[in-house]
Amino acid sequence: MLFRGCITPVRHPAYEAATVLVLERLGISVVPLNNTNCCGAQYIESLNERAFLALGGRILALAEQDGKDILTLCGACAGSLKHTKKLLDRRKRARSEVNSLLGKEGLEYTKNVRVKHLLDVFEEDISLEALHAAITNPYAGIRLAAHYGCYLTRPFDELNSPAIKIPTIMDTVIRIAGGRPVEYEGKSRCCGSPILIMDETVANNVGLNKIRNMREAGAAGIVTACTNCDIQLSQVQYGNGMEKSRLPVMTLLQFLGPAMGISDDDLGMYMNRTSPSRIIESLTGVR
Amino acid sequence: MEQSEDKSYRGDFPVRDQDVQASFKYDVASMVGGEGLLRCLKCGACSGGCPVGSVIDYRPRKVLGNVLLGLKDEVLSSDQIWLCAACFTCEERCVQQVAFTDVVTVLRNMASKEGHAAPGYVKMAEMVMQNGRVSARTGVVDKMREQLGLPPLQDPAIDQLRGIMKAAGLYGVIAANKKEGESD
Repeated sequence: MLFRGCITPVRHPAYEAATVLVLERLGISVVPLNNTNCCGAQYIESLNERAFLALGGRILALAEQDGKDILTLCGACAGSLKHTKKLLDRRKRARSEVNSLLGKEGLEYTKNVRVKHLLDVFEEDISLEALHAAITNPYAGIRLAAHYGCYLTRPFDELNSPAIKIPTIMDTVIRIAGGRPVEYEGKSRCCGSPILIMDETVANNVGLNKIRNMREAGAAGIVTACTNCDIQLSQVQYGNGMEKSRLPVMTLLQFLGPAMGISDDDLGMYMNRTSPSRIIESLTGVR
Repeated sequence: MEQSEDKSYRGDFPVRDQDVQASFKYDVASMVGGEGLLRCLKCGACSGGCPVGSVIDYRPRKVLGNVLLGLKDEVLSSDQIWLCAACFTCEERCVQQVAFTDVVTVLRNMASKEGHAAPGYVKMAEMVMQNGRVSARTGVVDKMREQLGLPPLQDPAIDQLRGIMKAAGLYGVIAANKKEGESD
């Protein structure tokens, strides 16, 4: 059940397209969750948590109606829906408050839905063997930096698997596709995107520090798993005298697509802000 | 990072008795998400890992310290609670399970009620209210989706969204912060 969220379909449709195509190859069918609203992460949450819980509760209730898990592509949506679920599941009063707001539409949230981010799906639902088998045109060892983002790995309570303190799934996927994941300083650090609204300079410096660390570790490109991170790590590389040294940024699924024989155009490669050619040209096979 | 003198989160020392509201920390701790506050040892592990603190002088420990001290007005009316990126790094490192990010959400909700929400946040909330999402739909987007073979952008369920926001009290919060903006 794909909850597209509100930023991905507008600002990063290529991520959405790549997700549907690649997951299909891996045997997972993605059904859109329609009639949804914005999850309210960060902005609504900060101003009025009651409204935030009700917005998230509505999304959870809609997916429940269809009896499927929720899949999110954006880290902020994943984090906020998991957080909403945690609060509503634990607190009866908050739940009944939300349900009374949803009741007007005939909706009710009853704790029976799971929220998964794309990386959770790779972690839990796709076997490494199946992934191996789907790779028909592997990369020839290009060095790539995985950027996990914040809400996908933290906080380490029941929201995310406590066994995985230091996430490795993206690195594993990169390796299976023929890339060489690099270790770099501040790997789990934030991209700076949430601070853009308060102070652009601070936000950009957080992002640029991250990119500097990736470059120092020898990365030739960046692989992301969150819409906001992807946009942020791309945009900070503009206007900072980095013309000659920009690292290509792409989502994990856009990275996997070409290695599975999916065409660049179908994956929306040409829509990427940074040129993807350095990564795509490192594929071993003839294209 | 520009900060006006009266809004500096570093504050002025010594702290004066009249600025201290001893009950403040209990008010925060009584809210959902604020429970961990009273366990804080002020060890500073939160500040050490803060990505915002790596580029400017921003210290989560200082924020917690101010709340525990009872500097209600300073905490609620300054930028300090709005600069957190909510990345959860401090939460991961905290030995006392304070959950700084959740405490910040409680503080932001309190500040918003009093008309002290950061203007950027109010603007984004209004954007969501107006468009149903944080980024606006354009003709270019529709074309990109078509090229990718994606279904047209779905309706953002704007009526339901507004209904929920209104019933939950968000309209009142936004109005409170707009008034504040006009009087500045």
